[in-house]
Amino acid sequence: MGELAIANNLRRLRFDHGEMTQDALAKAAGVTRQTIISLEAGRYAPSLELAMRLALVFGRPVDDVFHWRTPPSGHSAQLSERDKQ
Amino acid sequence: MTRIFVVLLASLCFGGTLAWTWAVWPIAPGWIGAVVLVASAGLARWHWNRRQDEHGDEPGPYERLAWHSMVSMAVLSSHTTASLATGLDIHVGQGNSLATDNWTLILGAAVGWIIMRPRAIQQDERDRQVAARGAHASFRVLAALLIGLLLILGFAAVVVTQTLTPFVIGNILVVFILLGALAGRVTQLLGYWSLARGEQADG
Repeated sequence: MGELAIANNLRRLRFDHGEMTQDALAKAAGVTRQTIISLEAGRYAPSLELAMRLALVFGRPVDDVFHWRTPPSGHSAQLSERDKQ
Repeated sequence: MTRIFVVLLASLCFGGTLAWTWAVWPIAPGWIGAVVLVASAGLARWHWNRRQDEHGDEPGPYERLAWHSMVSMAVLSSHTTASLATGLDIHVGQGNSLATDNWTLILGAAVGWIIMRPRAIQQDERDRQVAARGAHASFRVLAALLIGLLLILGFAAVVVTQTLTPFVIGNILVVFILLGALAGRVTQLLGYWSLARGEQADG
């Protein structure tokens, strides 16, 4: 399995939230700790539902938690434009 | 990944050894197999508990189940295959000893799972995704084995098909089901392995 196109800020967000443990985040999101470990290692792409649940735990929009590592071809300009806004 | 194949190979060899050398064991080989299955489950539990305490990178409940199923099915399928290969009648031969051995192994696997089973069993979307991959592999292997058997039944020489009595075919189908399930478990473990590479746990 290669590197996933989508990365995340879960580790940073956990530390920003009072050094929340992987176990606490897993319990809050309703998944196993092993899934949080895989997510943080960039080995697993979550479903939209799980992505939204994780964002909800941190009280952030999904975009703050997950982002493109390499945007799909032809969409880089659109993403840059949106980031400026 | 190496660990998966080493454990698989060891389990297959162990199951086969139980069947090939049934005459030299001082007690029924099924009991020896069951004791080893229970002991290995206890050892695995101790090892994973230690990993949990020291590194926080122990496998989740469904990965543990996949490990346990892989070992149990490998022992059982190779035991049955070796029994068929030696020409022993599984259910009536040797005073029912081989049927007893198989059921004793199943009992050992069940007790092993009770020992290895974590307190809370939670399945999430990652487990379901890995399980789906396993089921897919299981189906493909089972289909391939059945096609092979159909070709043998349809086209093999009479001298071969004569040996394939309904009883033997029935047992071959049991082995096929076990091998299909075994392929599924191996695929599951490979899936977990690929999702865990480069992981970093903080407990």
